Amino acid sequence: MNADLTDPDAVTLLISQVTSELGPVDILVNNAGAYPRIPWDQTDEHAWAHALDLNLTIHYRTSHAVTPSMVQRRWGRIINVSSVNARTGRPGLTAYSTAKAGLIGLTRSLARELGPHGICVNTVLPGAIQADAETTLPAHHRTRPEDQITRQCIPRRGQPEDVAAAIAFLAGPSTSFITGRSLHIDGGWYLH
Amino acid sequence: MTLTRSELPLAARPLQGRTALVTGAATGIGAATVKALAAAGATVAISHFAQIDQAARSWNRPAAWAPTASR
Repeated sequence: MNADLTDPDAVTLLISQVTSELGPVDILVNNAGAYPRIPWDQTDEHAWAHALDLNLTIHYRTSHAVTPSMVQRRWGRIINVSSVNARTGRPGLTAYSTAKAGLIGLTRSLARELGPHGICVNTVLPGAIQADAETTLPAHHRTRPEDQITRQCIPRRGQPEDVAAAIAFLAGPSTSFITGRSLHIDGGWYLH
Repeated sequence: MTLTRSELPLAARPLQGRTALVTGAATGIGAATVKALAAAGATVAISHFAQIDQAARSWNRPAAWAPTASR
């Protein structure tokens, strides 16, 4: 489905189409987002609002649309994809990092809201992952791989599959007592 | 507590019978997540704005379009 998740009507349509074709959504992975590197002095009202919409509000929107049927069926998994930047902060990514930190609050609060209904809500926080999006960054915004690797316990590049494996685990039947959590997938970069 | 077969962490297809929706599924972490959930037995719906044609090629499925959305 092609859906502009910043458009509430498009989200309603997306969920109703998925439901009618495949059945109600049991597992929602809120992965969509954008990585707009905007210097702080250029972060105007529009840029700020847009970054929060793309990295936080869209996840409220999809979650809000799928939870009624999860509550009805007393089973559900919501996994939000945050970022290590939510914890560490990063210049040029203030609005993005704020939104990603907001996802942690969304996750904790929704976990409390929905736990009694058999729904688990968790967040994964990827670190430096070697993904397509990385190659679209201007060279001066990229961290050199060798510099990144020295920050981690595990000295290799993170791969999308590393994050996907954690998401699949959290989506599964064996995690019905894990909720409201933030799981770092970063090779041991950020330890706390 | 005794775990039923379907509750075992290492069950072969623990998500069999489940429907999943992954947003931003055309690339990177989203695309890898679709593969992981499908391998675990889930039926996976994918959504991606603007790059849905790329997603459709990746998964060899025709893309559906939300009428209120634009490219």
